Amino acid sequence: MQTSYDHMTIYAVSTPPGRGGIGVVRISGGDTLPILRALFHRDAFAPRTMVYGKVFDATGRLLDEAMAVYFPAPHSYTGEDVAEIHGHGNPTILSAIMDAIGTLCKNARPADNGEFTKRAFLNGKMDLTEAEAVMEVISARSMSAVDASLRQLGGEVGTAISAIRSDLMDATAGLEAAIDYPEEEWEDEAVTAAVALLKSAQSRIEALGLSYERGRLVKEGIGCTMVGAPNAGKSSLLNAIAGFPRAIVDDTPGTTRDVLEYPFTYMGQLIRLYDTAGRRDVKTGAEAIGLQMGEAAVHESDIIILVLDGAEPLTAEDYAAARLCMGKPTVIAYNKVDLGRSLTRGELYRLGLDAPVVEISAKEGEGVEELLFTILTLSGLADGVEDTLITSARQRDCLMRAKDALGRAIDAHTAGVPFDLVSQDAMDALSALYSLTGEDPRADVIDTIFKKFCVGK
Amino acid sequence: MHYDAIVIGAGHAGCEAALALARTGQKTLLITLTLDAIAHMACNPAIGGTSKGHLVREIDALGGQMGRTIDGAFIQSRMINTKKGPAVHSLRAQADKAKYSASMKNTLLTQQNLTLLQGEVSELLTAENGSISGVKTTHGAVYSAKAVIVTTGVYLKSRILAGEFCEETGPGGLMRSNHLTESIKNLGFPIMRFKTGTPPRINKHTVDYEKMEVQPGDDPVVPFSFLTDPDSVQITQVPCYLTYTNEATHNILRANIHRSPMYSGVIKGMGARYCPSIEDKIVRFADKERHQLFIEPEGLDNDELYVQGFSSSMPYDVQEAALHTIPGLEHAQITRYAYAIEYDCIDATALFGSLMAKEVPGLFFAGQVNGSSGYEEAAAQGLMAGINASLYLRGKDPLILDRSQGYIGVLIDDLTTLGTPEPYRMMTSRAEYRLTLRQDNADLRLTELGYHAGLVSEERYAALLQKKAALDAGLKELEARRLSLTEAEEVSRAIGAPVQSGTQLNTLLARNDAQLCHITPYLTGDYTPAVLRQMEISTKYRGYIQRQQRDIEAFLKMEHTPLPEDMDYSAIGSLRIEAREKLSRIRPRNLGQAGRISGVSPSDISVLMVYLKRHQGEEVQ
Repeated sequence: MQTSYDHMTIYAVSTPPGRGGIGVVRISGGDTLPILRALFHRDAFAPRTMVYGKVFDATGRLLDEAMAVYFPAPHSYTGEDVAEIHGHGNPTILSAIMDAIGTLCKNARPADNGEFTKRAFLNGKMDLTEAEAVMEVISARSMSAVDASLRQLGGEVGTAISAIRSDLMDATAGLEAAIDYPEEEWEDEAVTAAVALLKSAQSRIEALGLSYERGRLVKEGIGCTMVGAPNAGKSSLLNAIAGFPRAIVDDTPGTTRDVLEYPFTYMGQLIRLYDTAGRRDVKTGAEAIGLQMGEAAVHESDIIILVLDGAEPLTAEDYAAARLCMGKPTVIAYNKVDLGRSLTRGELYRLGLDAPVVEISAKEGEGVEELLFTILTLSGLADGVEDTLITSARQRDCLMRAKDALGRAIDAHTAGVPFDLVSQDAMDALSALYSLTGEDPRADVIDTIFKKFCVGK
Repeated sequence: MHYDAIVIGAGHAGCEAALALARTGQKTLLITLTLDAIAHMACNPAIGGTSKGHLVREIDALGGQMGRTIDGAFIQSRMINTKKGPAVHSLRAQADKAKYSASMKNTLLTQQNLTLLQGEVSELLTAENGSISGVKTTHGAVYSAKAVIVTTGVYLKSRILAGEFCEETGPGGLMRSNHLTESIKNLGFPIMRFKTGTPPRINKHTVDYEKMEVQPGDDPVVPFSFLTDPDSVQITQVPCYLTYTNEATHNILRANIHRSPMYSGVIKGMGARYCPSIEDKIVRFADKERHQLFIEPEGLDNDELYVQGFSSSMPYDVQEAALHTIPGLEHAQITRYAYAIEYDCIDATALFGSLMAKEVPGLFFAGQVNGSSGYEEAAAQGLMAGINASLYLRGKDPLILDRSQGYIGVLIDDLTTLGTPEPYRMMTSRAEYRLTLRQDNADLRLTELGYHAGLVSEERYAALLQKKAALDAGLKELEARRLSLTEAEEVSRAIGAPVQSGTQLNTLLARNDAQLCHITPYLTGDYTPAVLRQMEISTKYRGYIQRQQRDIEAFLKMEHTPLPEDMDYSAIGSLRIEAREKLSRIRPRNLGQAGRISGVSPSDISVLMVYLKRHQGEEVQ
């Protein structure tokens, strides 16, 4: 419902899009403190005091190290409980933090444009004379946002969502028809069909959720980190990519943390290559590679390139590097093929990675294109999918709400829970999809009942 | 002659309105076209059903009459949807329609402060200041009153149609109201033309029951009214029957479709999609091989049957031929032909949520004249209009139920906020807080309001408070009481699944495999079956109800943000043009209502919030 939507806790990245040294995620609303506690795994946040800590997602995965400051109501920008999380200005991490908030708190959603300002005004935090300006901001921004979302719904994503929405509508109408017009002949048939539609909608929403991940990569670029033993050839690979005519590399690498970043585009796709090799203070040895050099960069990355020296047997350092790659999409760059292939497939298998292997010679510039293409493939972007992507956090939030509600509906039905509850969950799912375009489905449900079912006395 | 209030029309809305007024001490005149059709069931002989059963329960909880009257005049009763969960359980009773009507007439005639009069009101009279001052009848008599409630049902300039036949009468040949529409129009109300219909009635001695499925009533019967002694409704019941149309039926109708006034374009009125005629069903659902028909007795001493599902405006010969193709009805004599009926009604967005006209203080509208359909929808509005007219006369604030308080709130909010393009039928799907608005808890939700409105006796109110206290105590006991090891083993045996010792009773009851009977042995409090049932539902549905409760809180925040009546929406440039127009016309009383108007977007609401804030700020300064 729109009404309850308005009283939820909101969150947004409040620093400009793109990379900067710091990225700030701002939260406002009654659930701010519980969200902070869940993200930082700590209870106490002294008001208006910067706190340093590690940020975790709902599964306990470490996302970032960040500073947080908590402003209890009413002494905050919006007049509500507000928190700011100052993390690293890496879009991947900021997205992950946004997602974690949405997952940790069911009563939180991404903010609409101008919404922090609106709340600040409503809570008396701005001069009354600014009302006109605030209203302009709301109406102008919301109009462009609505326009954008409608336009988006016209594309392939739109087609996919419309199809799911229409199936969910049929399912909900079927359940509602059975409730409002019981004892009709078609009742059992309608219910069976409705449940089947709920199940198919659920799996299709999951697939769309994955497309969000791809959408994010398209927008923000694929973060890649090279890991490997010091002599495996990371620097030469970097040079090879820099010299690869189809990769356009920036002249001036940006610096985040202590990691060098080399952004370049390949087949129209932005890839941000992180090089940990630039760090000279790193001690050699397996421990150093595992704990200091790689960990942070790996967290920030979408894809890991494990560079191995194919001319030598595996070393303890190689194994340590491979451990870093566990659980992350990885491509193995089997380097130095020009010097021979002494590393066997059997040995590679012992690394325990489910990763494609690309043979390259960084020195000769061989295999670079295949490596880059493999990165695109691993990201799900090899086939050029521009149109089928969910890109905004708000869209994803709506889809996830729909997915959760559908999961509840199907579980409830399976457990033999009565219909009045199952239909409630189905309606919640439908409402979530409708909220993508700021609409309410109830009137359409009733129209659909009359369209699809022969009801009435 | 002077009265405090006048009610025009003694249908289901008018009876509730007049009783609510008289029972709260207002000297009331009820004028109706004929005293032989008080609370007349012009269509099916039944009260209740999905969502309508909820409405009757709510009417009763507020101190209305319908539930009490049907409890004394039903001939069969069923709780339907029992397999689908308590939120959608609905009570439906077959009525002895003559007995229902006679009983209601008796209630009216024995009611203190109430005068019943046969006559046709031709004009609404207003005072200089624009407020209502009384009515004038076709006899030329003038009756003055500060409050008037129009409950004219489907009688305003109605005409009935069947094939080429068309006659300017009310339902079933009853007198229609010829003049009042003009007077209503002159007061500035937009008039709409709606259409509905009714199936044929047949002679019950000409039906072959062997060929139909019999449908008996429930045993035991649950009464509608919270006041009715359940023992008093365990009567011998009369069955209903099910039969079906077939290809032969469809062929006859299809071959004659051009003779339907709906298809030939004679009928201009807007029909209801939920009440399609049989010919409509066959055209719109061409691939369906058969349609279910439900044969309902019209009463104990009435030898006619009602053929639900066979509503039609086909000519008489087509009706005959088609009906006789149906198993069990091959030789059925039609006693009254089916017909469509067209009538005038108003656009209810001209009314406040209290059902008082925005432009004419003291004038209220309730029932089908507001574009609704159904006895229960009419009665619910009649009751609220009666309560609010009484409050108005006493200079008090109106009682407006919001959408989280009852189906009545949903019904009236939909009608007065959105209006309706077709006759409006209540549906459980329209109630967004359906899990909370159950028929079993109507008293807990509404009786206190009925008490404050003056329609609920001290005695009943005391009983309600007692029930609430017992429920609170019961829920506390469920929470506090834990099973011992032996008890857990007992329960585990009973339900055939493991139960841990130390389990709280509410945790146990919340399980899908546990029933009320598994926990009652361990309760020490003395709870009535009704209270135990509430304990069960509250516990089993707790997660969902809590979630809904949060939605309701957010909803109420918006409902409780009033919009000034004199707000100049045209001056708020940031509102979209469509929103500006709609808001100016409907003049919602709060932000919640504004948000439900079609064409008002969430960003318009945000703009209004900011505007209101500045407005308040200026007032403070």
